[in-house]
Amino acid sequence: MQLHYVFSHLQNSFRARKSLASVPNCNSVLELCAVLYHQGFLSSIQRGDIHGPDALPTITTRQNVATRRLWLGLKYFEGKPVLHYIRAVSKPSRKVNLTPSELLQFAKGRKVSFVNGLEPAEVGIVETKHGIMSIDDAIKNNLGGNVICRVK
Amino acid sequence: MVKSYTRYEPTEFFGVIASSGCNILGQPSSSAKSVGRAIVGGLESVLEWDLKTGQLLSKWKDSDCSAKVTCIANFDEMYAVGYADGSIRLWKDGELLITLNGHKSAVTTMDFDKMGTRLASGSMDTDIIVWDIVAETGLFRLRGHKDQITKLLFITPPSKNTAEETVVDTDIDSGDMDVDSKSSDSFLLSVGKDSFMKLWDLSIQHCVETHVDHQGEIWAMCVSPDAKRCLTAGTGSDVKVWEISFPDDNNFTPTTKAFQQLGTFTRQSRDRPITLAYDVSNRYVVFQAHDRLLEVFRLRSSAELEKILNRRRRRKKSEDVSITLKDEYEPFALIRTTARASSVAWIPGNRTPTLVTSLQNNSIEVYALDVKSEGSAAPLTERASRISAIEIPGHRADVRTLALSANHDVILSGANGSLKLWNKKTTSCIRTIECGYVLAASFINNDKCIVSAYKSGELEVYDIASSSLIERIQAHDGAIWDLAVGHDGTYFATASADHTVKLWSLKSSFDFVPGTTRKVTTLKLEQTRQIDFTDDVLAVKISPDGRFVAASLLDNTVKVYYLDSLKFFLNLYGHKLPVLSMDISYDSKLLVTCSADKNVKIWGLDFGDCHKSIFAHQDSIMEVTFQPDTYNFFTCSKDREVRYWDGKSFDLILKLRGHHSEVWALAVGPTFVVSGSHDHSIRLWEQGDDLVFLEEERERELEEQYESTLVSSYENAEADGEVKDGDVAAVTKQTIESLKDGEKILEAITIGIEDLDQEIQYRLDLLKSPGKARGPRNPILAHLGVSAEEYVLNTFKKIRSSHLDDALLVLPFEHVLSLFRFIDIWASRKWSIPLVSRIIFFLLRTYHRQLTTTVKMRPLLNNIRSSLRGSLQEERSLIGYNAAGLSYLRHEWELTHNTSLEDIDSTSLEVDGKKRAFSNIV
Repeated sequence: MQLHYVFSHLQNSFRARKSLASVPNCNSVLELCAVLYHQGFLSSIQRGDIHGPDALPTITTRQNVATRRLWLGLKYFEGKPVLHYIRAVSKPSRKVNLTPSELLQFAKGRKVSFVNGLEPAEVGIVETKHGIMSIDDAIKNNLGGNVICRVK
Repeated sequence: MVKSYTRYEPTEFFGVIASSGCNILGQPSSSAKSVGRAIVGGLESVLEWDLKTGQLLSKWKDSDCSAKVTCIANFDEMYAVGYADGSIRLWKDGELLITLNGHKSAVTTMDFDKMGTRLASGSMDTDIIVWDIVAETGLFRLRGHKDQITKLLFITPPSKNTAEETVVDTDIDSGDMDVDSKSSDSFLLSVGKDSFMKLWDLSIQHCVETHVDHQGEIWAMCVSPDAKRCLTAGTGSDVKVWEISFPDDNNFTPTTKAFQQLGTFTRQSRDRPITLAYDVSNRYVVFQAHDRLLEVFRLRSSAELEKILNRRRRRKKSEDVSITLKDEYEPFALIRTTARASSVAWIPGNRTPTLVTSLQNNSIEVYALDVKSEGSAAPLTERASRISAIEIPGHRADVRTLALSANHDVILSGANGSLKLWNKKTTSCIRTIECGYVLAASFINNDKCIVSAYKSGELEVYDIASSSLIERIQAHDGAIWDLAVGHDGTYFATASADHTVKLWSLKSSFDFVPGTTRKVTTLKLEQTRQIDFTDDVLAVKISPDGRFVAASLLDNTVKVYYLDSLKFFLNLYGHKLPVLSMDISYDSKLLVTCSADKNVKIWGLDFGDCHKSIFAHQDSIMEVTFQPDTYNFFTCSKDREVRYWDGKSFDLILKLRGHHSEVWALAVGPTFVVSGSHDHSIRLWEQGDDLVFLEEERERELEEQYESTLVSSYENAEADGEVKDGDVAAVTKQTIESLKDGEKILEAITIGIEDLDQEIQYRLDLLKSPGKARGPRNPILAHLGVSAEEYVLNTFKKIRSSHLDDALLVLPFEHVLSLFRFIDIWASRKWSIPLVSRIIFFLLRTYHRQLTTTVKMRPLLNNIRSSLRGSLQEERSLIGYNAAGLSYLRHEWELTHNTSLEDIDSTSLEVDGKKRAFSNIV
């Protein structure tokens, strides 16, 4: 699924000072949110429907799959959002696939092909064959893949 | 506006059952159910325990004294307590009667004489002082020992009893007043670490006999109740036995000896002896050394010895046999205590011989001897049984951690082997949990549970209501040094020596009761996350807003992490030794760290900068804690102090002194502080009504330092003067109180002399020109409306008896000459003859040489002598009349009492209606 909607929706929810944001319920979005949670940008991830998080655990079935959503707890500190921006790197018009060595250069802040490197305190998120993970984990596991976004 | 703070005052301390370094006394109990009472020193107070119920009956503490109790002696229910600063206090029914100052260092032994009017005390400064309890003065100081005195005993020669009674009767008939001095004529026996055993004649105040038979130090000594035998014990394994026989007329010559050594018998222990004591029935001797063994010897009676002698004669077929001391002193029982004993005493008044012993692990045990096992083949270790012990009100080891409940009513303390809960108001122990070596403990789950961390790396959760173990987890591979509970009490972090910090949360789960299908809810610990380090982690702290977790490592740094993502945030470096404790302020803006390099550093948590570094203590700082909702914090250190600091202006506010050992643990509530120490005590400091201003605090410290310098300079001057003296010296010691009293006397004499001269001048002028107006008097005398001599006498009356001699020593000689003029006036007017006699006696004894060479004093002294003699004769005749009158009244009362009894008997007989009744003829 295209994740660009999730990027813009999260960024807009942070700027609107919302406490919760809902995103579609699918595996790629769930993996992306897990990376954001582990990096400290989200405070909680809950399953729910279009009205809000589930009060009781509910099994996803064919009848209710259309109404299922993921609800994310947004995090603020001293009145400011913890997540300033989340910006796509790989776009439908031009894919950015990097090898492990190129990911290392990218993480060090150098320009790789046409993409500027990561800034200090910026987190890159990579889609690999083992799933969506942060760029540090990809380098640690010597994996290459599609750089989907940068988060600060 | 100058900033002010509230003063913290020491209110209570608890957790001490018996201090080591002080002897224990056993006393019979007032109720018939109990075994007895134990009087023991507990740091700076004296504790009275009921040995059956384990309750603290009373606690005697003088607020002026902060020194430890080192020695206790008693005469019936009057107790003399010696302290580590050389002072002696007399207590009776929990009230302080007298404070006696004379020794320069700790009092090591004391004894009362048979009538309870004199007290002898021995000290570490090699002096023996004999005190008069009635007059509250020191009679004389005996010098002769070269090292610490270890035991003192009054000895009355038994052979003079009959002669003494005859002499007393004669004296009473003749009307002399020398009854006291003759009947209390006695000797003093002293042993010391210099291997001397000395016998002092108290009438001539000299040493009449010295024995040097011991090769090393003499540590213990006792005399039998009939004053015929003496036992001494030194560093060897032998106990020496001495025969006591005084000369007939108590005249000692160089060839006459009262003490003859009979021989020795052997003890089992090889350690330094502490206590040797005879039972009051003169049948058992208990021996206690510096280990866990109590040896009880039984003295065989003469019939048994005769039987042994006959058996040996029969076996050897000869008359050439003898009795040795090993036969006379038979080993009866061996008692092995649970810990090293520090003192032992007999409890009088019990049917079976009973011993009470205080151990060095802060407990008291009571043992009873099994008298029926005499002559049986029972082993020595089974002839005594432990009947009770006092263990609940204190820890067996030093207090390592303290925690408070959420409502600050319960104090949790942890030590090696136990966890205890205390009620803060009553300072009593509510719960005791036996466990391992506790290094950290805290309340969790809304004060329903306790979590404790051990040196073995285990975590245990206890339920408070039932004192039961809920869960035990092998959490770490090394010791868990610290434990930090989160802000809502549902999660905590542990810091360990295996280079990790682990985060735990509480989880409820359903388990089946074994054997049934019923479910119960239990609490379980679950490890959620972990931070790995390269060094040991010594301390961990979670910020009150739940955002940061800080860990102190062995490489002297403190690392701060985000709590939710465990990402690295700050590295605080600057300490030169590892950080032992830290705390974060209530708004999570300040972090304070204390280290083994004696420094306290205050850091800002926003950028990690160091606001201030303070050299806070003289030794390692063990714990630092913020006061709730303020920026002030407390530190405790190995230098026995707890200090109070301002975290904004970086000032030292208060020093809380009171502990006698290293302070390990600290817990701070809104209005009080609790500190735990190596001396087993837990002290409570509460906010009082006083305000503290920093300038006043500095001035007060300077003044105390000046006063202590003054007292020590006086002591140095006395020490220089004492080198030339012989065996006997006066009992003097300058303290702050005696110096102040001396200054009061000086001021009063100065004012009085000036007014007296004015009065004399006024009288002379009145003869020349009548009607002349009087000059202005001193404002004090005019306001009080008294004459000069009256004012000076009132000043003397306000001084305590025990300080009078020391206060008079402060006077310069010209003021002594002025004082004699007042003494002349007082003597002629018969004011306070006892006090005036005492003052003049002391002054004449002290300044005899100077007074006899002053020519102008002779008429004054003659006047004093004649008027004082008349007053004394009047006093004596009054006492004689009263004594005779009381005898007559007693005789009359007895006659009346007997008549009343006879009347009662007749009335009861008539009521009974018996015809043939026997009447009692009184």
